[in-house]
Amino acid sequence: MSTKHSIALTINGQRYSGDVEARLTLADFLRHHCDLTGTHVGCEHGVCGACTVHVDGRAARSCTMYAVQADGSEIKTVEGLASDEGNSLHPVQEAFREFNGLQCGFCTPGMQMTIAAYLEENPNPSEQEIRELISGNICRCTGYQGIVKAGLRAAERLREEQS
Amino acid sequence: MKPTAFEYHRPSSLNEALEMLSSLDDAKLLAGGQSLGPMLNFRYVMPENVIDINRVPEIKGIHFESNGAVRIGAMTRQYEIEKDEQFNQQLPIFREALRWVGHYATRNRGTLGGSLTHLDPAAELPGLCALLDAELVIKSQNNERTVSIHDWAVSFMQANIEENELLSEIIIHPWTVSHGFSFLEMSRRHGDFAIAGVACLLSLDDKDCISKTAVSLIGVANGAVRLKNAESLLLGERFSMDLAESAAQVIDGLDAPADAHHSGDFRKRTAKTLFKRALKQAYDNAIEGRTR
Amino acid sequence: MNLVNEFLLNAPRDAVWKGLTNPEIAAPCMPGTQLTERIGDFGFKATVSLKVGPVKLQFLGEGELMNLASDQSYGEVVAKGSDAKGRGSFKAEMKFRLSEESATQTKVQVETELTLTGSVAQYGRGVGIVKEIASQLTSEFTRNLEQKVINNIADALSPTQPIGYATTGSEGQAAGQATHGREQAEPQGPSINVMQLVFTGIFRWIRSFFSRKA
Repeated sequence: MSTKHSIALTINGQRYSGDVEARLTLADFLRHHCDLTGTHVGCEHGVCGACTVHVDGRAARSCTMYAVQADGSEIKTVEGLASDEGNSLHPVQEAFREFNGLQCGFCTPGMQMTIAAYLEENPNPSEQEIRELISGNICRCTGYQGIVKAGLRAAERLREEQS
Repeated sequence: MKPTAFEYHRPSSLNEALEMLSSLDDAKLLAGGQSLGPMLNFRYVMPENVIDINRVPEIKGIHFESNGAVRIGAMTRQYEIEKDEQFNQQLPIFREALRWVGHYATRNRGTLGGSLTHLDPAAELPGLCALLDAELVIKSQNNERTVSIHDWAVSFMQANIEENELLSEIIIHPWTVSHGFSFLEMSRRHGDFAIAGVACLLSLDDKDCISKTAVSLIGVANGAVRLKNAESLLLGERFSMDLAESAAQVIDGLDAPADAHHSGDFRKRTAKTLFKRALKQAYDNAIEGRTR
Repeated sequence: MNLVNEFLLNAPRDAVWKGLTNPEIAAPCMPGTQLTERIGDFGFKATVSLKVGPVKLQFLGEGELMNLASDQSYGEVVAKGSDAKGRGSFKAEMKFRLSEESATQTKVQVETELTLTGSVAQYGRGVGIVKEIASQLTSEFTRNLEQKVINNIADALSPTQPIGYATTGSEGQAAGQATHGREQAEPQGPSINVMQLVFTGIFRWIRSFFSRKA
């Protein structure tokens, strides 16, 4: 039995803590210790993007981070995108609904977390920029067109909200 | 797909990190985790100890020295380099190449030092460091040394670094003479490991001849390669596609191992095409820079 | 994959043959190798520790010398092993040919058919890297063997006064590990990082060694 480490962190504005083995990935911590199963595990080596969350304000793969590393951090998962206790969808989520940006939904949390983070930095992306952005998120179902449109529409919605 | 158990250590200072490196057996440094994480998860590597250097402050950040040198802490995240405006003014090729380094999310964690120590043959950052004759500062508990990037890669994915040493910073002297740059990469999907990639810097004299140039190649050989032979062919010449074509032939002389994805020949052919295009682009960029 | 290497050893063929066909002498000449068991006259078990980039492999293997020609001109070694941690396995069939270049020089040609399976074969760049590593290992092996054979001759001539090792300075440190006083199969210590040999200048020496070949 290897050493356990005590960690405490904030996830979607709420405080969580746990005693974890060092080798427990952040993704597994979120899913198994925190019951936040919105974050999905696909490849476990950083290429598929399904596990993407926000760590201290930036999109990151939770499969290549260990929970111990997130001690003291602020994490946002897909469960934290919507506001008003889930009654008000994030503009990215609204856009996905508008443009059928998902089918099975497996890649969706990663897609949305990636796009949401990016739009905070670049509120007016081109289609090419969105395509380049989501190259790190693999979708088996949709063929990406709906996702790209959703990304552009989300940017539009966010710009409308700001003005 | 889960790592084997390891002891986790998180030093909060450089001295502490170096002390741990000296005293712990079978230890690996955890920087951005974008290369080590997958290897741990795959159980390619099964170290007894992992030393997490993410909270070591001394090796982070970009510093601009008065002598013109740019010092980049090894733990500087790739996105930080991408976004830094002052950095981009002096070394715009980085922002262009970083578009191709992994993906948006991996660049938020991945570091310059990690990429340089991991030395994947298709990695872009070692290629850029070779292009700019970077110097690497290596520290251990009782020693410090500086290694030229050209002496850094000892062999396939093996850097000139001992088990008790840590890469602490990278020193780059940006070109001060007006120059054009280009970075071109070919991969099956954007963000995949490069089939081949070419980085180029090029300066023209007042007769429009190439007065200074540097070209490096990634993805083809066992690591990044400076194409010095090609550079010699280009110096003093007027740019033309014919010149680019003949300089590109040096790539044929490289040892290009095949792998599960592509043959060595395919990589070389791709590299030659990219070389010509990159040279043209750097040339156009240099002309544009002059007329601005 | 097929690998061909050729070397010139500064030792008479008879002595080289004896060293090469004795696992207790030959096995420790391979970097990172520890002989663990003898099986009859021609068989052996060994562990080979090898670092390929970031990955430390430890192969548990066995081998056998075969088809040894009575005129000391030809022999074969068949070896196979698997990584202790399940990352792959190898099979190697080596054919070596010895010829007398002079009374004190022997030419050794080694043709190796090497098969790698498992993740160790897929990692990184596969074939090309394995060739490079196998070549480096073979050169180092041959150099160590030469040193050992020379020492054996020297010891036979003057048993109470071992001759100082020809390697000097930093080169001696790594080569010395393989040849220093190890006539029997003593443990080789922790795994040797093949690539670290480069720091000690051996790699450059090996390069020059190649330039001497016929």
